Amino acid sequence: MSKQFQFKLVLLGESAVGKSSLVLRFVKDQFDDYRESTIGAAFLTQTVTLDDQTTVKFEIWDTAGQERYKSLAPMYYRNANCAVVLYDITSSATLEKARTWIRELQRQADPSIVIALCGNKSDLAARRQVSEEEAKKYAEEEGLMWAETSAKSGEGVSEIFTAIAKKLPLTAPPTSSRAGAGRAAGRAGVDLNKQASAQPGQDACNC
Amino acid sequence: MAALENSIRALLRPSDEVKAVLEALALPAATDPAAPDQPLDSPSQIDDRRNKRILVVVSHSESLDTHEEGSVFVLKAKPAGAFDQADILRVFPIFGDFSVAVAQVPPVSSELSAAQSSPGLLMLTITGGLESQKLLILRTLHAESLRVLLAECKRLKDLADAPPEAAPSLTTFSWLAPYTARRAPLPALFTPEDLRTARTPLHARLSAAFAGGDAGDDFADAVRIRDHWIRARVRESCKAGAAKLRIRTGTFNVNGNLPSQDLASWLGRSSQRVRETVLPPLKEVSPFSVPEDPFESAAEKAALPAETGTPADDAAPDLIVLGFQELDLSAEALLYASSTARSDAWAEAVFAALGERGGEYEMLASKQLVGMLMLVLVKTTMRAAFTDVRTCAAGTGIMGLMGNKGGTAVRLVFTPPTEKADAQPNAGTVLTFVNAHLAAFDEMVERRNADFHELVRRLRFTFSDAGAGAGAPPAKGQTVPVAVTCGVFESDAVFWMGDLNYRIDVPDADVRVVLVEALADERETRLEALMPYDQLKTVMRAGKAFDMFDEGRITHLPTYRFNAGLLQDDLGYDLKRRPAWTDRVLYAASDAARIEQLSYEGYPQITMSDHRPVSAEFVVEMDVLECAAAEAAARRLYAQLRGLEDAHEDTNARINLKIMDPAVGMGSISYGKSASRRVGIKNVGKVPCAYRLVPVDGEGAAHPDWLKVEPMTALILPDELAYMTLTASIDNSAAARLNVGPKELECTLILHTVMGKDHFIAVTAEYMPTCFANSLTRLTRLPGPIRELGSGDLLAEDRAINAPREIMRLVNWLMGPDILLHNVFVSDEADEAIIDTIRECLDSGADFPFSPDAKDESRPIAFGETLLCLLGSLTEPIVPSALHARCVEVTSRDEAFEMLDEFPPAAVNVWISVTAFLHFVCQSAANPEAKAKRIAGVFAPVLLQGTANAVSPVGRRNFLLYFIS
Repeated sequence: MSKQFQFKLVLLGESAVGKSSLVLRFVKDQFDDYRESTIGAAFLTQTVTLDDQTTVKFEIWDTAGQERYKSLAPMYYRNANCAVVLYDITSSATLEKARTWIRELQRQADPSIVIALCGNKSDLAARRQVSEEEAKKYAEEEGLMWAETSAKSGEGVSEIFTAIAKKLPLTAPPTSSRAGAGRAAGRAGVDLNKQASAQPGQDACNC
Repeated sequence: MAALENSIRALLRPSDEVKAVLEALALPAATDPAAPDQPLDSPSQIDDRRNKRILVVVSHSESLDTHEEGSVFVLKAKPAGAFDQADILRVFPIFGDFSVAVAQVPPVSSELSAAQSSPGLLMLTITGGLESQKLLILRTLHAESLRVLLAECKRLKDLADAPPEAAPSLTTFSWLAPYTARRAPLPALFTPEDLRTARTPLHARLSAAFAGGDAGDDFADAVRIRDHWIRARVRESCKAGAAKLRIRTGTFNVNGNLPSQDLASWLGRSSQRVRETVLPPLKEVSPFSVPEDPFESAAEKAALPAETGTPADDAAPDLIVLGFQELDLSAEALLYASSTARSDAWAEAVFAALGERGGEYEMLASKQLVGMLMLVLVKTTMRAAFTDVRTCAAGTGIMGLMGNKGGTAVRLVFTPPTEKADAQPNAGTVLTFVNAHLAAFDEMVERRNADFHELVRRLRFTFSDAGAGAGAPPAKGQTVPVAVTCGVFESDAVFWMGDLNYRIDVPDADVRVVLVEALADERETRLEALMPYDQLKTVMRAGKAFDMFDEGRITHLPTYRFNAGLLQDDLGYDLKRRPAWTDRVLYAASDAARIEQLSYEGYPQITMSDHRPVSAEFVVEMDVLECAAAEAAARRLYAQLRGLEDAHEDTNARINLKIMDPAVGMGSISYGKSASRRVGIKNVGKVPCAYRLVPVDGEGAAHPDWLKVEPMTALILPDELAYMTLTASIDNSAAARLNVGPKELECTLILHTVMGKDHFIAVTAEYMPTCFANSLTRLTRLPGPIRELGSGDLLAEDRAINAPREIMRLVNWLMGPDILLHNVFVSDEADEAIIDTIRECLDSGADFPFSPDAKDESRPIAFGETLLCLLGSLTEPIVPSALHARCVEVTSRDEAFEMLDEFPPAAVNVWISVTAFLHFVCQSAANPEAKAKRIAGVFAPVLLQGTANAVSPVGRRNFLLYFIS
C-alpha cells in the first residue's frame, strides 16, 4: 500500500516579497499581477507526489508579512514541520528580514523544522540587489535549503516544494504524521505535542 | 492506482486515510439481489462508466489515544481524479452488524470470459452500518485488491467489536458526518434547546479554537451558527403577533399543617395588600367556608392604608402554579405519601381562596412526593391551549433518595389559540415548573447546591406513549427523534420555586437590626444591603448553582422562621434561627419566551406555618408562529445557506470575506466613558459564510478586557455587508492596571472565517490616565494632576502629600458657600454629564467650571456621587481589610478614634477629612441622627469595602457613626 504523509508548512518573510503569490503558483498554478496585501493568515493544501508509493500533502499557512502582525506569527509556525522564508532578490533589506525570521525560527520553532530560504522574483534579475552567492553562502552556513524562484513565471516553484518534501522525514507511520491534522476535521483537544513526539523518525539535523 | 488513491485522498479530511481501494461494478437497478447468480448482460455494462464504483476503506483516529475507526465508502467513478462530496454514494461504518460477503460469479457469457482472462467476476454483498441503509451488491474483477479490502475490513471490524481497553472510543463515527450528511439536517424548529445552552451566547458555544487553526471544529461550528441564524430569522420573518400568558406562582412550606387560614391574599385575591408591620395573631379559618374577607379583622388592626394599583383583581392569571413543602411531616421517612387527604385539603383551600373566581379554574395537574406538592390550576376557558402535560418527582432527602427533601415538576405545552377556526396550528411553547425543597441549616450551602444539581439530573419527564410524534418531547415534533425522557431545562421557560433553604451570611443580630429598621422606613434600600450576603445570590453569582436563573427584586421581609411560642423577637422571628429568605421563585427563559415579573411578595398575615408563603406573578410573552409557515421559511433559509457548512477545504477558495477597515483607531479613551467604532465585513465570496473571533492561543480571550466586540460571531450572505461594533470602555479593574502600565493600547483581533482563513484587525487606542482606580499611596505621591504625570516621576515616599488632592478638591467644593447639601449622597439621580466634567477636571487639574448656586441641587449631588465613586474605586479600601474585624468590635467613640492610630497615614487624613465633612452634612440636616444613620449606611460599605470576610455590616456602619453623628 502506498503511503501519504502530511506536513505543516508555514511561509514567512517581509511584506510584498511574494509569499501569497508563491503559494498561489504552487497550489493553483496561477499568478495575479495585483494582489492585495495579506492581512491575516490563509490555509491551503497541495499534494506532491514523490514516487508511485509516496505522496506528501502540505498544509500551508500563508501569513501576513507586515511588521505589526509579527507577534502573531508564532501561533502559525507552532508545530510546523517546515518553513519557507522568502526574500525579494531586488531588495537586500528583505534578505535582512529573512535572516531575522530564520533566527527566530531557530530559537522558537520545533528544533527539527526544515527551513528553506527562497529568493523570489527571479524574473526581475535585472534589478537584482541580492547575489546568488551571498544568499547561498548564508544558507550553507545556517544549514538551510536554498533556491531562487519566480512566482510570476513559475520557475523553481514546484522544485523547491518537492525538494522540501524529500527532505522531510518519511519514516513516521502515516497515522501519526498528521502535523496540522484537524483543521477541518479535527475536534478540540487533539494533543498536538503528543503527535509531534510520536515521530521518532525525525532527525534533528537539517543539513 | 497511485493516481486514483491520490485523488481519493484529496477528497478526505486530513484526519482520515485510505486503507484499501477496489474498483467494482454496481448491478443495474433491475437486477434482483435474491438471484445472485444472474449474469451481467453484456460487456457494455461493464464498460458503462455509470456502473463503475470505487470502494474505499477509510480509517480515522482522533489521536494516538483513541482507537481507529473504519468505514467503507462507495464512490462514483470518475474519468480523471477530482472527486467531490457528491461522488460519495454510500458510507458503511464498520461496526455492529457490518459484513461483507463474497461469492464467485460463474462467467456465463462467453464473450465476457474471452474479454477477461482474470479468475472471473466476484460478487460482494455489503450490509449493516447506518440505520436504514439497504444492502449493496457489487461485482469486481480485482481479486487481489478485494483481498486487501477484506483484510482491512476484518481488522477494523475486530477493533470495533473489541476496542483495546486503554483506548476509549471517543468519536463513535461522528467523523463520518461531513461525508454522509451531504448537509447537516435542518434544526428542529420547535423543540426547545436546553435552556442552559440557549442562554449561553452563541460564540461561547462554539468549539475551542484559536489562531493557527490547530484546534477547533469548523464543521460543527458552522452548523451551530447556521442553526442559530435560521431559528432567529424564522422567528423574525414569521412572527404573527405575540401571545401573553399571565402566570401566578407561589411557594409555601406549611410545616405539616392543614390549611387553617384563608389563602386569598397569597393567590392575589385580596383587594387590600397588607403592609408587613405587626404580625396578626393566628386565626382559625375553615378552608371550606368562603367568608367575605376572612382575615380582614386580624389584618386590619395593623394595616396601613391599602396600596393601590395591585393588579391582582384586574387581570386574573391564566395559570396558577403552587408549590407546597412539608405537607406531611408524619410521613417524613417514607418514599411516597400514602394518601391524598392532605393534598386534597390544600387543593380545596386554594379553590376556596379564589372565591367567586374559583369556578373559573380547574385543576390541570398535580404532583406530590411525600411533603412536596405541586398544583397547577388553569382557567377553564384556556384549558384547551395546554397540552402534553407531564409530571415527575425526585427525592434527595435521607440516603439521597427519600422524599423528605427533593422536588416535583410539571411540564406543559402552551399553544396560542388560532384566531380563525380554519387556520393552521401555531407553534407551542414549553413551560416547566419545579417545586423543590433543598437541604436545611445555615452551613449546608454546598449540600443545597448539590441537591439542585441532583434535581436537575434526576427530574426527568418520561414520554412513554410510543406514538412517534405526538408524545415526543418536542412541542410539535414530527421531524425530531423520539427521546424517551427529557429534563427540566429542555423548555422555553422554567420557573423554579420552593423552600430552597438558603440563608443570610451575616451575624444573627445584624439581620434583626436591619429588619427592624427596614420596617420603619426605606425598606427596599435597607433590605438591599443584606442581598450581598444572601447565600442564594452568592452561589448564583459564583456559578455554583441556579446560575442560569433570574430573580425579581426582593422587597418583602424574610419568610423564615416564625415561632408562635415564647422565643421570638419583636417581629415574631424565632430567636434560635437566623431569619432568612428561604422561600424563593426563580425563572429562566430562552429568546422564545420573554418573562416580565409583575410582583414578588411575602404574606406575613398567613401565620399558620413557621414559614410565610411567597408569591410571584409573571407575564410570559411568546411570538405567535404558524407551524407550517415557519417550517416553510426554515426550509427556504436552509436552502439559501447551501455551501456554508461544506466541510471540504478545497471549497475555501469560494469563501471570501473582506474586512473593510483592517486597522481601527479608537482615539483616546478614558475611564467611565466608552468609544465605539464600526467595522464593515463584506462577503465577497460565492457562498454564505460565517466568522468568529478566536483568541491567539488556548489561554487568552479573543479580545482584551478594555474592548468589547459585538457580534463575536455572525453569518453573512454573499454580497451582504455586515457590521461588527468595537466598543472600548475602561472599567475599574482595567483602569487599575492601565494607570500603572503603558498608555498606548493595541491589540489584534483574529477573525476566523469558518472553513476559511484568518483575518487580522489591528485596533489601537490611547489611554487617558485617571485618578480613579489607584491606590491611596500612589495618589499622594502624584506631583500634580495625573494626566501630566510623565513616566516614573512620582514623588519620593517621604515627600508624599498628606491626602490625595482629588479627594480634597471634591470635599472642598462641597464645603463651599451656597451649596445645597440636602440631597447629597441620598439622591440616586446624579447627572452623568456633570460627573464626566468633574472627573475630567480632577484628571486634568482644570478648575471646576461651576460656580456655587444656592438653587442648584444637581451639581452638589453629582459631586457627592463622584466622591463616593472615587473612594469606591480605590484599589484598597480606606480602612485596611485586616482592621475591619476590630473596627466592628469598638464600643465607644474613644476606642473608635484609637483605631485611627493603626491606619496608614494617608488613610487617616482622608478618613478625618471625609468624616468631618459628613459630620457637617449631618449636623445641617433637620434630623441629624436619622441623617447620620442614612449616610453611614451609604459610606460604610465604601470606606470599609469587602463582603468576603463576613464582618457585620451593621458593625461597620456603627464604627463610622462614631465619627459622623
